[in-house]
Amino acid sequence: MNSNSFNKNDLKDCYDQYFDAIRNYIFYKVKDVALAEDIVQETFIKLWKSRETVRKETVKSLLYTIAGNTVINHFNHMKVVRNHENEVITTKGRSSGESPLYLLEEKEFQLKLNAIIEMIPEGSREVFLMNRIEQLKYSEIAERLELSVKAVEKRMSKALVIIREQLGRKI
Amino acid sequence: MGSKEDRYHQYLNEDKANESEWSAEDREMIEFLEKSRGLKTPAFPQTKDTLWETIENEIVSEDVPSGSSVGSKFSWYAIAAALTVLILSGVAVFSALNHSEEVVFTTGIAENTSVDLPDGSVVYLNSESNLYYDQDWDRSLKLQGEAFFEVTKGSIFTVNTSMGDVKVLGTSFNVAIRENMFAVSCKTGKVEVNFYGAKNSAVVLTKGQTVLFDSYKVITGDIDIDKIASWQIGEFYYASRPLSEVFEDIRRHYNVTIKFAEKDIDARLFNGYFYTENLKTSLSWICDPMGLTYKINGKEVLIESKD
Repeated sequence: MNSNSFNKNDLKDCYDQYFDAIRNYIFYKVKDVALAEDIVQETFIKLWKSRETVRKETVKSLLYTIAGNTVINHFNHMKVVRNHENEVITTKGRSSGESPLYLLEEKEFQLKLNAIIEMIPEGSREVFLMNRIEQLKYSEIAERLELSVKAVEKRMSKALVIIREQLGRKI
Repeated sequence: MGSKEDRYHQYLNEDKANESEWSAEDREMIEFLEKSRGLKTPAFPQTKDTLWETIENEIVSEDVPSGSSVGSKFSWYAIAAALTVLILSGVAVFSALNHSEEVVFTTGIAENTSVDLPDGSVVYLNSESNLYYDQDWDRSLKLQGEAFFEVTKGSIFTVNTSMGDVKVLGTSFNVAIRENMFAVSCKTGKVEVNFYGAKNSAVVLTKGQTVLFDSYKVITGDIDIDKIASWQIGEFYYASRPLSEVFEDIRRHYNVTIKFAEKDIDARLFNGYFYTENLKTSLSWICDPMGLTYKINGKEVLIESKD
């Protein structure tokens, strides 16, 4: 990446390198695969539009920031009210009774797992999933989301509290 | 934050678990955390390369004006938006456009009917619904209530309602506009839904997708093709909808009045279904999972809590 200009090849490099991580991150937030795909496209296009100001060293966290903001904009746009009881985006298959978001081997445990993860609020949820699914350390998560490690810990703690509460209830 | 929390963080961060230090309660947590490591995201519809192509096309057209929607697939909205007429109140529009001859189809309670439109399209009207179109047929009509549409291929076909409109080129889909609720499900083809309650909101649905707008939220999701407009065969499915909506469908189908013994009952959310074999069976399908009972008194049904 030339320090003066960010060209299409640079964008493609970024895309190749960060696509999976960014798409997953968006998915953890919106819980809908088709929507996640739309937003990841928007994210890279927005990166392109602000290419004058992109610096190689910070492009990864910039992508996370753009992705996060695009998710927020999307919901504001649709005047969506997200409320713990009436989670807005129904997951693929909720209407048809198939298996929900995340795949795992044992069906029963999977349902419980999914139900619990859905109760973790956004913010904590993606930290939890980035750690569990992508095996990222707190320091890596902190770097990508531009948070302090302490902040990542706090969000993870919040997820743990909810998990503990839910496990305590015999589902 | 005690040392127990720290141990969890150490486990999560470094993948280390000193078995001896965990209590019985912890073990359940650790098992959960361990298993969640095996999680995978579900399959995404499009591949990385396909998505890149769309992005590539978008950035080649350099002079995309700022503020416009992103992505080539959104350009369709731009055209449709220009054609959309802002309808502020259902009643006003209907009377304003009444200057030319209007064709009207109405269904009463517990009545379904099918309507053949001038272009060969067919509309199946659910109970308590109204359909209006100009005798000077222009592939647009107004709907109150609920209907399933089978639209022949051709120019843009528009369904107008007081809460939003639906545009298609040729496809089949269900539109329901009831008390504070506007929902569209696409059975075949592609459908564009415009909700008047939110600025610049347009949703494109493809086969098997559904969108529902009520007073304050938008829900999009997937729906079994077989469940779209299943009211036609007497099957009613609900994904977290208030009982008021569910019992309204009972009322419309069986022509009974519903009364609730307690005020909050009709706000409770229902996740399930009922079939219209007979009133008693339908009521059981709804009441049993919700801990409610029903009493039938002629044309009146009383719903109350089991306690």
